[in-house]
Amino acid sequence: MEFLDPTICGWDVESNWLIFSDNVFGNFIYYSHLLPVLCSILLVGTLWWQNRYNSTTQALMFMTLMFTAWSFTDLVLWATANPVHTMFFWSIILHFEVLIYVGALYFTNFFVNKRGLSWKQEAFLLTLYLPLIIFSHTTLNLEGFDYTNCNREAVEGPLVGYAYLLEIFIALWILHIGFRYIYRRQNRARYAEVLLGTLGTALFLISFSLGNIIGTIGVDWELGQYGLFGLPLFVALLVYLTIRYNSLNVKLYSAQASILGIFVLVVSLLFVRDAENIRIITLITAPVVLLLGFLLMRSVKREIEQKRIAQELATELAGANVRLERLDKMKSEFVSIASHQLRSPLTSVRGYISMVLEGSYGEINPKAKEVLMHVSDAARHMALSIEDYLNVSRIEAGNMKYDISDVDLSQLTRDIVTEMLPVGEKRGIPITFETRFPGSAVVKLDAGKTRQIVQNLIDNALKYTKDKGTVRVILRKDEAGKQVFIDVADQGIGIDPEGLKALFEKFERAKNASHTNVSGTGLGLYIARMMARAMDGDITAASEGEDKGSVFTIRFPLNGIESKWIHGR
Amino acid sequence: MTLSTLIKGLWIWGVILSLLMCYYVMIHKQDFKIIKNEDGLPILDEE
Repeated sequence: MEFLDPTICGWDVESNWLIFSDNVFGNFIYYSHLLPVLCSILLVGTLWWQNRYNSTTQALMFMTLMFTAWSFTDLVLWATANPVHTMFFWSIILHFEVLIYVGALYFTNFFVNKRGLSWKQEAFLLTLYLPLIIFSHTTLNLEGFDYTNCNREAVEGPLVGYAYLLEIFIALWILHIGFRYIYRRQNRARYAEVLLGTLGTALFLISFSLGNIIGTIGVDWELGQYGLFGLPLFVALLVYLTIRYNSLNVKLYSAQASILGIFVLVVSLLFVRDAENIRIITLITAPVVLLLGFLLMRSVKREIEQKRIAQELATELAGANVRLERLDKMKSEFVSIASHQLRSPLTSVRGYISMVLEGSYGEINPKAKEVLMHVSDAARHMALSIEDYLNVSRIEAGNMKYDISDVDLSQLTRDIVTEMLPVGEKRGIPITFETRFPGSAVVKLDAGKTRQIVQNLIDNALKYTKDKGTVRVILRKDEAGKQVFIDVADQGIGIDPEGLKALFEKFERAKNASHTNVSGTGLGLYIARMMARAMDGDITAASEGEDKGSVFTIRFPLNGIESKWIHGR
Repeated sequence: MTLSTLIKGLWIWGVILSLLMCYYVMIHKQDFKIIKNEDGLPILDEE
């Protein structure tokens, strides 16, 4: 193809590396293109170096690469006098421009939603992008090279307008992601993070497109170049947010990036020789150096402060550790004292009283016998209380041992009820046992602990039942045959709703319990529930209110195996 | 391979193909229109 002699327009036909020629009217253009690229590559590159497998970092890297490609292409368009180069680079620049937006969309989605786009969203986006792939080499993109004046311009076709629309659409999509998160989700703790990430990305895109926006509305292509200076700042913001909210290594990174940033800014000033330009550039550079210097100082200050705090904490921790060890030893000693020093003498006290009462040491008068009976009762209560405290201590220390084996719960409950019948008779309260299925239920349990739980509930029911009540013990299973229940129902003093809530807490007793002259540590139900839970079961209580009786239900899983039920005749 | 990877792959190859087409048309074939004034000469900037 025949072209006009470029020297007619006074164009510089020699260009080095495609981007260095006298056609670029000032160093300013290099400064506005190369400096943001260098800063962005340094910032994102350092982040990439340390966290390349992080999706947000990958999206940022993609944006930076596309921006680098765009800057190079744009510089070629400023520098070249060759219409062939102008047409080629002008035709491909659309791709880089739109792909920066696509990268920004991925970044926002990773940053806000912690995941990539769905394949449907990606397919939709690719469909919208398809015209750029198909038509960028055609006259729909560039109608031709304009020789009518000496501006070295291509004439843009409708595809460029379409690309701008696509950019606007993606920008709106990005804003939608951020604001939808804020309006829909309840995680208020992330609002600041999401808002900063979305606005940071939006500002990055506005800063990038400022040249196009101003150029398109016909003001001045040169004015828009100032927007590019904003890019490193917004890239820095996005990098900072990525580090801050992805728990990446901040201190090392920010120190490295700040030093590199200052170095690049200072060294780049050497390449500017025009006095007028240097004034503008210094105006832009000075605040950036100040900001980076401030960040560096803050980083060092924070490092020193954190080191001091860490040392203080380490000293405190060492002291606390010694104190804890001492306390632990004291606790162990206390448990040992409680079990041996208190329980052992009590056992011998009870033994001797029992022998005296049985007449092993000769006849005693009835008055003394009555007194000794009271002493025996008190000693028994004391022994039970000590046992309760020891159990709580074992449960909380995780030292309670469970000997799990196959237990026939039906037989066990029947045995316990039979054993408790004399106690009930003594108080004039009948105990009934009812089983609502034929056969026996075999469950994996600690038989001793289960006996203790059921005995405790029946004993409570007897204690809190008035003279003419009945205690009913019912064994049943749920409809699905996955759980077995033991109900212990009484017609006693009942429990109000407030009391029900705190009933299984340590040292808690129902409010009206003290009216019944029944002594107790308030630990029985707590221990019973903890034991039941340790065996994958639970205990619940229900009552319609005071004086309306109560029902305590023990539940154990049957491991969902129906065959565990051994059916009787 | 997931659908997402497939779409990204198609996209990347699409862009590469498009860049190659631009290279072929604009640089190799130089198949584009030159818009000129009637006399075929550009209007020179008076400066």
